[in-house]
Amino acid sequence: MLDFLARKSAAMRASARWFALVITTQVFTSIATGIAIGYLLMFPIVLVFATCQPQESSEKNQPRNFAKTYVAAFDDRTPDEERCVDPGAVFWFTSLLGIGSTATALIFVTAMEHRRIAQDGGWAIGLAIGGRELAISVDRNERRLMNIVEEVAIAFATEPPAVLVLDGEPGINVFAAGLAPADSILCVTLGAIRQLDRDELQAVVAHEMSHLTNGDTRMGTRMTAILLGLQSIRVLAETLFSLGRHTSEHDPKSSISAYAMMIVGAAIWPMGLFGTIAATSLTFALGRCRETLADAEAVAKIRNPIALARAMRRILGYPGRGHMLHPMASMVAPMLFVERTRNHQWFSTHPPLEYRIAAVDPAGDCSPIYDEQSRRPSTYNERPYYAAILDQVLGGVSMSSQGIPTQPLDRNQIKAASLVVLSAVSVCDGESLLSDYEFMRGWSELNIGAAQRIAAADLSSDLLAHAIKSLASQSPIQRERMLVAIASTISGDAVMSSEEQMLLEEIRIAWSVGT
Amino acid sequence: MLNLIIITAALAIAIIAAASLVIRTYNRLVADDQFAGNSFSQIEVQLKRRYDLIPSLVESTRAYLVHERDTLEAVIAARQQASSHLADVGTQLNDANVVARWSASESALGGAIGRLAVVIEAYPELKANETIASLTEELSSTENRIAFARQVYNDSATTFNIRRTSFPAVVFADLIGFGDNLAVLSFDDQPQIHHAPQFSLVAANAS
Repeated sequence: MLDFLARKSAAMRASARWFALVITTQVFTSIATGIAIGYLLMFPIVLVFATCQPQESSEKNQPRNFAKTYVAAFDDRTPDEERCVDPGAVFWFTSLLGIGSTATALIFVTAMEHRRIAQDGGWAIGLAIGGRELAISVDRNERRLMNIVEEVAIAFATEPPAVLVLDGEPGINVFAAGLAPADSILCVTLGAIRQLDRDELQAVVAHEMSHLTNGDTRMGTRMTAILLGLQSIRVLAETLFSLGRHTSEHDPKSSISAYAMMIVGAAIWPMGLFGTIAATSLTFALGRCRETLADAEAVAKIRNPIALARAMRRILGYPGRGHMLHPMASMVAPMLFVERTRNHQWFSTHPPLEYRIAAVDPAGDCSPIYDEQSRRPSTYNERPYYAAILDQVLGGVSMSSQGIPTQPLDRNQIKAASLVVLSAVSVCDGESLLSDYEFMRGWSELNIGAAQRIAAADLSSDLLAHAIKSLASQSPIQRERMLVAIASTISGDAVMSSEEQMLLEEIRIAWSVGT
Repeated sequence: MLNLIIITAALAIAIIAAASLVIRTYNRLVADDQFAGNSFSQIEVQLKRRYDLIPSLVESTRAYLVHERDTLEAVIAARQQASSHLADVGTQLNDANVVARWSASESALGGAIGRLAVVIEAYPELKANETIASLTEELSSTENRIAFARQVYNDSATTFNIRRTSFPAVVFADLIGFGDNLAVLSFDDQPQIHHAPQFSLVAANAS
């Protein structure tokens, strides 16, 4: 018990540190932008001073004198008394003005964005992403989900949030949204309801409740606002630059102001870019911290680390993982239970699943769980003879990551070995026109590019034995897919001949299927 | 004269500091106590939910379980006893005896329900029955709720106890009306739990 409490406080400290870094970036960016603006402002102000300087010479020389006074002000050799104004002092003044105005503008934009984001609360997000509200339900799974959410809310001593189901999402994922308790929602994908058992779903819901009660949704809103604020500097710079270029191309008369605009844009653009990139990666780091915290909190409240670890292992083993199909899904990326897609380590919203499993359940098993039902191929053919053959091929499949030691094979090895095995299966009952059809039927299940069947004359029993042996060390999912391909090959002519049966037995023994 | 002023001022500051410490501790203890009481009432809510569920579960299984009359009777009896003990425990959370008596009857009810669940598992036609399946789901959900509510209560009672027995507070806690620790609910005095290992031991010896 002490272990996860310690982990929780460590995660709290770490996230506070990251938040401080984000704020530092914001301050640094506004100072740098302010100084750049101040430096640029210095020149026109010195020019104004040069114009106002009382002139001793005659009226007709005036333009030249402006230029002289102006240049002299920047010349180190000019004594201080003879300068129209000290550029250093002007620079101090303008950069302070620049920093002040940039910071004010940044705070203003951030506040506006924050207001705008906070307006569409949890419900708006949930409905935008295609959620269906779960009210009184007769479906047993949905009833179970409602019960689980209410249970977990009791464990967190809060109100249960509204529950929405994403019917169109087969992946296993869950997210929470909403800034106030009344507006909080919990969206669960259909995949999560179907694939996870009661305890696992409970642990996953607890993770999301921890996001809600720790104020992570609120923090996410604040982070997005800060990001958009910093981004506005870059957007402003780009707008200025392109506006200036446009003016200089179409209106030669005002080219000086156009060039000035372009220079200002070019000067503040790097600051905006730096601020955006730094704040983005820091925000992601902060988000990963909060995920660790949510995992620890879920364990603290549910007191069942095994179930949480099992849910993650199941997601690892599930073909759809945590994918979200809806285009708006990126909006809720930091609030999801697992990441939608794999990203680079710096730009991922969650720590890697393997790492999270090891953190939650250090002594336990970290291997993925492969579920029987979910592994059925997408092209599962319901015709009776095909189903019968498929059952015979896959009969007694009990694959796990234990058993045969799996060695990673490279793509070409797999391709070559599969080619040999499928060719052998398709020609073992005599070579005919049907063999080609049978081979293509099986090969298309594998989805590994195009290939030509190897002719019966080129096949030898040694080659076949070697291919079967090397394929035995594939991962369970690959082996299963290979078995489905073999079933499709065998069922090409709708019957299983005795030769095919013998070959199948051989393969099944070599891959220790059904033992 | 000056010394007198200094001494008076120091005394005043010391008294104010001590008083504010006592006031702060008192307020915190009151808040913790109220929170613990509130979480206990949450347990009560869930227990009442369980009491309401039991009769309908018993009624709907009675037709199938003609040979298991004893199990059903035991559940009903345990429910009666537990609900009668619950009535007086809410207001006397710092009386260990009352809590222990109620806790024992509550866990007896838990044991009886557990046996009923085992019996239901053994009858396939019962498991297939839609009504009974949803009732068992409700029951297992309620068991979870009770467990979580107890957990919240135990956590808040522990927070209260820690705060009460920590150093400055422990000196004057008795004087400001927080003399007793809140009871932490536990299963320790549970006959069923003590007996369970003996059963398996006998079975292991016999075989």
